Amino acid sequence: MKLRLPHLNPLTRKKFRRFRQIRRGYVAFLILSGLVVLSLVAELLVNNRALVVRYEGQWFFPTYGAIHTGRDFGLPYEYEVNYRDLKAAFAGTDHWVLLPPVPYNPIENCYRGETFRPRPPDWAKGHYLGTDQINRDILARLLYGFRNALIFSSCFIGLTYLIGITLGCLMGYFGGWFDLLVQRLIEIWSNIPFLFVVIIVASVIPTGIGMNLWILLGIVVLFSWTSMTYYMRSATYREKARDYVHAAQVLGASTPRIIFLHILPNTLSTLVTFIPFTVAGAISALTALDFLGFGLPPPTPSWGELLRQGTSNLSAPWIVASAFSALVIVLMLVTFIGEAIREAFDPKKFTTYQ
Amino acid sequence: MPESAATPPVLEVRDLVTTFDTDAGRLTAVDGVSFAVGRGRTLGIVGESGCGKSVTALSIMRLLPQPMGRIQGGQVLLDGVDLTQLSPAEMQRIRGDRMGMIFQEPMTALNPVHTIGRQLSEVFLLHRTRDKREALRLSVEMLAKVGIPSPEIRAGEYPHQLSGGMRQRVVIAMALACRPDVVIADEPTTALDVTIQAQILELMQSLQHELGMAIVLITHDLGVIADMCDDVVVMYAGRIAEAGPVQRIFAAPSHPYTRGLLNSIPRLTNPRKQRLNTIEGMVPSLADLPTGCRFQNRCPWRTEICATQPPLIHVDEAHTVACHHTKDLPPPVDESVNAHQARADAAAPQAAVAVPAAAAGSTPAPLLDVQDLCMHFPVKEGIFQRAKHACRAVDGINLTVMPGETIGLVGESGCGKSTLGKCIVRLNHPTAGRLIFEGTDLVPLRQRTLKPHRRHLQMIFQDPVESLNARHTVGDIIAEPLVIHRLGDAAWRHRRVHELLAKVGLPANAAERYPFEFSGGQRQRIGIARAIALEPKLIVCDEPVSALDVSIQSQVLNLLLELQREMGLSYLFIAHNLAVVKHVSDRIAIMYLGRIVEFASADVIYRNPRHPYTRALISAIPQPDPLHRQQRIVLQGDVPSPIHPPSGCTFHTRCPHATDRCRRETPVLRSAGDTGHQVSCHYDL
Ligand SMILES: Nc1ncnc2c1ncn2[C@@H]1O[C@H](COP(=O)(O)OP(=O)(O)OP(=O)(O)O)[C@@H](O)[C@H]1O
Ligand code: SF4
Ligand code: SF4
Ligand SMILES: [Mg+2]
Repeated sequence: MKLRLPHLNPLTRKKFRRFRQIRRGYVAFLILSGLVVLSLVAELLVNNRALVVRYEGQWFFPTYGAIHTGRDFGLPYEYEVNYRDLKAAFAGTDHWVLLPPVPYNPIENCYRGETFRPRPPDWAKGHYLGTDQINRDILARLLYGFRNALIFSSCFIGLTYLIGITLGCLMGYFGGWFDLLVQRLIEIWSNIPFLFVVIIVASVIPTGIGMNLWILLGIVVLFSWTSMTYYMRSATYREKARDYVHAAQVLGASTPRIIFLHILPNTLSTLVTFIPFTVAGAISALTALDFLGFGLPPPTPSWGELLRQGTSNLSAPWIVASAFSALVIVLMLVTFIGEAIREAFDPKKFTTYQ
Repeated sequence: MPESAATPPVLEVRDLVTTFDTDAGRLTAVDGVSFAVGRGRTLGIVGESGCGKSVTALSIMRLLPQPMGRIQGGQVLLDGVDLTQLSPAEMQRIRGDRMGMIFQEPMTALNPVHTIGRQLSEVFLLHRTRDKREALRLSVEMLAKVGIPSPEIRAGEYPHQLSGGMRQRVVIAMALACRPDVVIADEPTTALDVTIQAQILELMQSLQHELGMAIVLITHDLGVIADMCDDVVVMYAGRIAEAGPVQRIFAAPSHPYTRGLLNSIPRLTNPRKQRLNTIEGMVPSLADLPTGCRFQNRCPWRTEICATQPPLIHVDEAHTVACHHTKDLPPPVDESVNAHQARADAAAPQAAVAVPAAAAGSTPAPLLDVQDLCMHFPVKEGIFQRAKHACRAVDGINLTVMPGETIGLVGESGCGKSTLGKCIVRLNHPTAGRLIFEGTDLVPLRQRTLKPHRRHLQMIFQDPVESLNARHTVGDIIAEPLVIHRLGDAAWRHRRVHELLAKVGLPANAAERYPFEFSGGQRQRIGIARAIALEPKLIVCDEPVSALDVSIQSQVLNLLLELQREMGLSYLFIAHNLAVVKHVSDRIAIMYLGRIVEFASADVIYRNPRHPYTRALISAIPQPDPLHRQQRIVLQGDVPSPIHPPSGCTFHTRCPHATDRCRRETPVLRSAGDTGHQVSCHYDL
C-alpha cells in the first residue's frame, strides 16, 4: 500500500493561509496551543512528586509511576513520601531530588497542621499566585482546572456534534414525517429547564458514585445537542437541493454514498467555524455550574469553584483575581481564534459600498 | 440618426481607468474606455462576462465596491461636469435625480422590508418634495406610467408579492422617477423571460420617447443591442475593441472579436445542426493579460505586430476599431444576408421539408415514450403540513423520443420544463403517467431496480458551478459513474477518465485539479464528460448553455452535436432560448403551464407557428439584425401560477385571440396541417 499524503483541496489550503495572515487570531491560536500543551504535561510542571530522585546510586522518576513510600527513600513512614521534605532531608548528602518548578499538587493542603486561611503569593515557597482558603496552591488548581475544562469541552464538542450532525443530517435528508416528528420532539425537549435537571440529578445521585465529570458531561450534552441539529438540518436540506447531489442521484449513487461523499464534506466544512465558539460556551457553562456548586465534586480543581471561593473571600483578592483573569484570557483567546477562522473561511469578504 | 450629431452629448466618458485591489494584486478592470451618449439616444455596451461592462457602469455611478475599487484616471462628464471630482454628498444628489440605474436582479435592487410605494416615495422625498402625501401621489403616478395595473393597491405591496417582470418595472420607475438625463441599465432583462423581456424593452423605448433621456444599455445579448441601440461599444478584457453606429457594427464588423461574436450566435434563420463558428479559447484573466492586443490568444489574424497595443483607428467617421489588421481582414461575411435569404425561403410557400427520418418511414420503436405524465407537487399549508392544493408543474405530457433524435423543449420560466426533465431521469417521482424507456416503464421502479436503466439515461445541468461537487477532483467527478456502476478496475477507470477528458476537449492534467480552477465553459465540459461516461442513449440537457457566454456557448453546442453524431445519442434539450433550441433540435415542443401547446419539427415551428403563444414567443426574440427590427407581439401580463391555472385554455388570460369558448373548453393537442404538427388551440389561426 502506498501511503497517500493528506490531499488537501487547494481552497482549504488557501483558507489556512488566510487564517495565518490574520495576525491576532493566529497569535491567539499559537498561545492557546501552547497553554494546551502545558496543561497536557502539567504533571511535569506543577506537581508535588519529584521529577527525578537519585538515591543510593539508583534513578527514580516518580512523576507518572507508582507511589513511593517514605521508607523507599529511608524515611520512617509507610505513606507516600513528601518530596519537598525529602529534598530537605537529602540536603548535604550524595542523594538528591529534582522538584518541578511548582512543587505542589492541586488538592493537597500545603500548610499541614496550620490554620485554614488564604495566603497571598509567596515566591520563596513557590506559591506564585498564593493559596486558597484551605491552603491549596492556586496556580496548581488553575492549571489542572484548565485541563479539566479542556477535557470537558472536547468531549462536549465530540458528543454534541456527533448527535447533532447525525440527527440533523438525517432530518434534512429524509424530511417528511421523520423530520416533523423529530422537530416536535426537539421542541418539547428544549423546553425542559436545564438547571433544574442538573440540581435534581445532583441531589438524587447516590453518594457512592457522586457527581463526576462524566455524569455532568452527559447532562450538559443532553441539553445542548439540539442547537446543532438546527444548523445541520437546514444545511443538509440546502445541499440536498443542489445540482451536484441531483447529478449523483442520476448516476445511480446510493443514499449512503450521497450522504457521506457528497453532502457531509460540504456541510461539515462550515462547522469548523463554530468550534471555537462552542469551546467558549462549554468552558463558560462548566465554570458557571461549578460556581453555583452543581458542577464537579470537591476536591476536583475547577475555575468555577475558585471563583466562588474568591467572591466569598474578597479580603483575599488574589483568589478572585487569578481565577477571573484566567477565565477572561482563555475566553478572549478562543474568541479571537473564532473570529479569525470565520473571517478566513467566509467567502464573503468584508466589503462595503459607497 | 443625423440630427443627433449636432447635439452635444449629455454623458461623456473619457479614458476611464478603474482598478480593483485583490489577493492577486491590483487588476485593471476598465482600461481607457471612452464613449459619449446624446439626449434621447441609446448606447449599447456589449461583451462577454468579465470584460468590464458592469464596472464601467458602476464607475459612472460612483458605486464601486469599497475599499477595493477605485477610479484611477479619466473623466465622466455629465453635461460637462466631471463626476469623478465630486464629493460623495454631491454625487448622492446626482444619483437618482439626474442619473438613474436599472439593475439585472430586480429583487436585490429593492428593499424587501419596505412597500414599493414607500421605496419609490423615498426617491421623491430625496430629490423633489418634502411632502410625504405628494411623494406618494407622484409614486402612484410613476407606477401607472411603467404599466403596473392598479398602482394604488400595488404601492402598498412588498417586493416579494410581485412577479419578476413587475419588480423590474418598479426598478425602472425608481430609476426614472426624477426624469433623469441618463439611465444606465445593466442587463435589465437578462433575468426575465423573453415575453417579459419584450414588455420591458417596449416600456423602456416608449419612456425614452416620452422623457428623452439617454440610455446606456449593457447586455451580452446581441439581439437586444440590435433591437434597442443607436450606437454600440464592443468591450473586450477591459478595453474597447470596436465602437460605432449599430448598423455599421452589424453590417461591417471590423474587429476580429466582433466578427467572432456575430458569427458564433445560433440564429433562427440559419440551417440547423450545423457547426457553429466559434472563437477558440477563453477571455484572458485580468491577472495575466498579454501585452499588446488582448484578443491575440484567440485571434486567427494575429501577427508579430499584435504584441503592441493597437491604436483606435477610424474606419469611418463614427466607427472606430482597435486592431492592427482591420484593413487586411477579408470583407465581412454578412450573416444578415444569409438571414434575408432564409427569410425569403421561409416566405415562399413550402411543404414540410425537414420531417425527421425517423418519423417518415416505417416507425421504429421510440427510445422514450412519455405517456400522460403528470407531476403535481402538493402545496403544504398549516401546522400539520396538510396538502391543500397541488402545483400542476407537469400536467399530462405525451412525447416520444426516437433513437438519435433531439427533442427541443421550450417555454418560459416556471412552465415545467425542468420538472419534466427531472421526471424523465426520475429525480422527481411522477404522480401519474408512464415513462416507457427501451420498453420498460420507469415510473413504478425503485432506487435499486432503476439503477441498471440509469446507465442509459443521463442528465446535463444548467449551472456548471452547482452541478459539480467542489470538494472532489475532476478525475473523481468523471470516474464517479464508473465507480457507482462498478465498471473496471482503478487502472481502467483512470484510462477511461483520460479518454473522456480528451473527448470533451480538456487537457489530461485536468483530472488532478478541482472544478473551481476551471471556467464556466470548461466546467460544463466536465459535466458532459460525466454524463457520457456510461455511454448513455438519452441525455436530458437542462439549459446546458444558458449560463455560458456567447462564444463559449457555441463551443459547447458544437461539442454536443459532435457527440451526438459520434455516439448516436438522443437529447431532450431544454432551454428558454428558441434560437439555440432550434439549432440543435429535430423536433420542438412548446410548453405553457405544464402542457405542450405545440409540437412540430424544428423548421416547421419556426416557419409556420400555429399556436398564438408560439407566435408571440418567436416574435419576442430580439434578432441580431438592426435592419429588421420586427414588430413584436407583446403578450400582456405574466404567466399564471400553476397552482391555480386558468380554466379552459390555460393561455386565454394572455391570448390576443381568446374567445368565450377558450375560457370554458380545454383544447386538446390535435394534428394540424403538416405531418406530425400538433397544436392545442381551438382555432386555426
Ligand atoms: N420540488 C418542488 N416542489 C413544489 N413545486 C415545485 C417543485 N419543483 C418545481 N415546482 C414548481 O413547478 C413549476 C414548474 O417548475 P420548473 O422548474 O419545471 O420550471 P421551468 O420551466 O424549468 O422554469 P425555468 O425556466 O425557470 O427553469 C413551478 O411553479 C415551480 O415552482
Ligand atoms: S490586433 Fe492583431 S490580435 Fe488583435 S484583433 Fe487585430 S489582428 Fe487580432
Ligand atoms: S384556445 Fe383560445 S385562448 Fe387558447 S390559444 Fe387558442 S385562441 Fe388562444
Ligand atoms: Mg428550469
